[in-house]
Amino acid sequence: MFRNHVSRRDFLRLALVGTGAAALAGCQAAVVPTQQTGSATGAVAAEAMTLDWWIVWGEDVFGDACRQIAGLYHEANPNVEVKVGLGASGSVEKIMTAVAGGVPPDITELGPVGELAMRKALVPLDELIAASGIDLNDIWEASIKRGSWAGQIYWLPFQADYTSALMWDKEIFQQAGLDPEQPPTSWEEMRAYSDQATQQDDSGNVTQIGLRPLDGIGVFAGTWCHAAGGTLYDEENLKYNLDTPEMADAVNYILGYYQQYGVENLAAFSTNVGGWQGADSAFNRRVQAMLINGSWAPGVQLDVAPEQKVGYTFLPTKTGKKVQLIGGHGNGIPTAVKAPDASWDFMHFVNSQTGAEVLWDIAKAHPPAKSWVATLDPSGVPGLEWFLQHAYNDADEQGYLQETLPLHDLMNSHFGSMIEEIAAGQKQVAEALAEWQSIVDTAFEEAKQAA
Amino acid sequence: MADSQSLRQGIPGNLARKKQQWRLTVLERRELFKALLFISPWLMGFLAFQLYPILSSLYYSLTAYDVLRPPVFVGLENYQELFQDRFFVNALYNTLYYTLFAVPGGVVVGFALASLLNTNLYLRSVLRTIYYLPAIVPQFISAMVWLWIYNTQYGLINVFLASYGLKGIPWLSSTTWSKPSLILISLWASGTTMVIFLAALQDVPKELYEAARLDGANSLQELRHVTVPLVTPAILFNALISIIGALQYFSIAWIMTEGGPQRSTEFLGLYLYRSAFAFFRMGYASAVAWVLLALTVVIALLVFRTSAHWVYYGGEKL
Repeated sequence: MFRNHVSRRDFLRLALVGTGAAALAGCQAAVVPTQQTGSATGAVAAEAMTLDWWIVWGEDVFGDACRQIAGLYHEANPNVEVKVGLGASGSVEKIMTAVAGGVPPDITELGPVGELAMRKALVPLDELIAASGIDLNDIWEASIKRGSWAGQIYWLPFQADYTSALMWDKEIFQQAGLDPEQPPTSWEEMRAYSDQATQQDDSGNVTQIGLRPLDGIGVFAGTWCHAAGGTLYDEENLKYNLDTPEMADAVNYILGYYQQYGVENLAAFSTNVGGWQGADSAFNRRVQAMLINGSWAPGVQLDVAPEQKVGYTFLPTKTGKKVQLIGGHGNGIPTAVKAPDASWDFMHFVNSQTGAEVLWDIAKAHPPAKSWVATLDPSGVPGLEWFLQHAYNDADEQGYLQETLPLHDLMNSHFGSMIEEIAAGQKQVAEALAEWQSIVDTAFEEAKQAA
Repeated sequence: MADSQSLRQGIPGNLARKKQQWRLTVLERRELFKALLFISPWLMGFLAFQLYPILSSLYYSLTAYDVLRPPVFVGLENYQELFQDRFFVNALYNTLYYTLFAVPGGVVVGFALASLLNTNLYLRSVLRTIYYLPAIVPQFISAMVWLWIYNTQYGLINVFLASYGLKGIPWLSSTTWSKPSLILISLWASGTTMVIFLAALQDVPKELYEAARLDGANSLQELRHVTVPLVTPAILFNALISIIGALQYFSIAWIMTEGGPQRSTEFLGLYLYRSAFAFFRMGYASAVAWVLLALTVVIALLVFRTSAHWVYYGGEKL
């Protein structure tokens, strides 16, 4: 081998050895960080580690709040750095893929709790909560229920929303000849106000819309189901109630908007402008008079459009009752995280007084804790007082926004396309509801069988 | 010698000859080993990242599998379900519609552009670059740009139409116009097809054009009897590649319409993606993927079979 030249055979032998060595090095298992064994109250990690925290928000007040919380945790625990993944938990595909691929985030803000819990992709937190001394009685029951599945809690709620509110632009109301201080109180009024505020050009293009029923929280079938006096989900039988008279009422009501303004015109308007809230949204661009939204809205308004004069009220319902749905966000721990103790420690910190203060200071949002809500001062945030004083206390009925239930994405994706198909005359309401129910039932049975 | 050996062993002569053909000499075995060694990096990659996933998806297509829990074998249930699923049938229709119009359109546009750019134009090389650019623009960027072009109120096209008093077109909000809108984008990005045709056109011998002109052929006859026959290999290649791409159409539709309005742009790729990742039905999605593969193979085979009648290589029929 140690000749002046290397023969072809020797070269190939060397190449084979080198390739094999490289392959072995690449296959070597990654070093697993030492698990933190500290208590659930901010103990310093034995070794330096980085925790990935996925949140649904992006570059907005909530994203800022989360980053500050992460920074404060790092100050208290210098060996632990928390990397905030903005917008990372917004899609169930991302979380599912990460868990399936064995590289889950250490903590994730959760939307599809039921979807993941049913498939054992989340760690149950009951024992951790009990050991930590968190008082569940102080937390809104609806928030706990949103993050539970089969009797176990899978999330720690840290931001509460009251949803099923209607916000309206007072200046657009005034321009349309409506009383800017008088929001609609019934479905009929809401439709009439919308018609009055909607403007279309000669070609039929909608240039200003009164209300887009499927914008904001209106995108959820549950919002409209509750507004029609129905119950979306049968918890005892693990079944969605879709093919019901109440849902038919809701669908027929929404269809009225499509038939009035035109399916294509509404679709074009939605393509032209953004939805919900934000600088490019129809509501904040002042081309939409009303928006179905929740209690985060005043904080966001203060950030993106402080000059816009906005009012808040209960979303009108068919029954005339004031319905309040509790929404919000919580954090959970995916299975197979590298250091579950460290994950829990951070989650507990997020839900501590420090985390809640940051959330309030920056985003004007609060945890679903009764003791905390009692101390809040909404002054300085126009509109928030209504939520704190009335949304929770004056409601005739309370439920919870159920987008955390299993198969909610499947169920809800059919809701929107079903509405468009009926509006375009491709299906009748009864037929569409029956098909919708059948699709979701079949998928639910399949998911339960594999459990 | 093989024959005498085979006779002694009682093996028929032709079979013995075939066996000898397959038996490698020591030198041949050594050469084969070296060859395999040199391609081993690719081979490992192919086995790990292509063959294994392909075979896995075939298995998963026979299961109910949500990725997070072990698969449950269900046999052909997924395949039975998908042909009764109107959303799958709708996605199949949308995909075939798109393929039927985008592929011939892309080939024609690519050929036309190449023909124009094969002439002695001023700044020809600059123009070639300009026309090729859309093919290399990232799809996300293309989608965002076209979203603005198709804006019904402020979009370039509708504003132009309005300036002549014409009604705007509901590009992405109408079920009638949604697919044609996406097809138009694919025609805009025909740069790759154009480049391949350009190379083929430059390979056409000039003498044939001279000969045709001497015989009294006009430009159209030259095109029909000289140019097109000699670029039929390029037409075949472009058609095949375009068909494969069209059947897997996903990104632009996902970004611009997410399958709407009313599922009119829900192609098989989108339907498959949703089934797998949004609805946790990886087994069903794998079945859709295999149906898509079968469809692609069938169409490609049909194109190959017919190509014997219309593709000319070097002036000779195949």
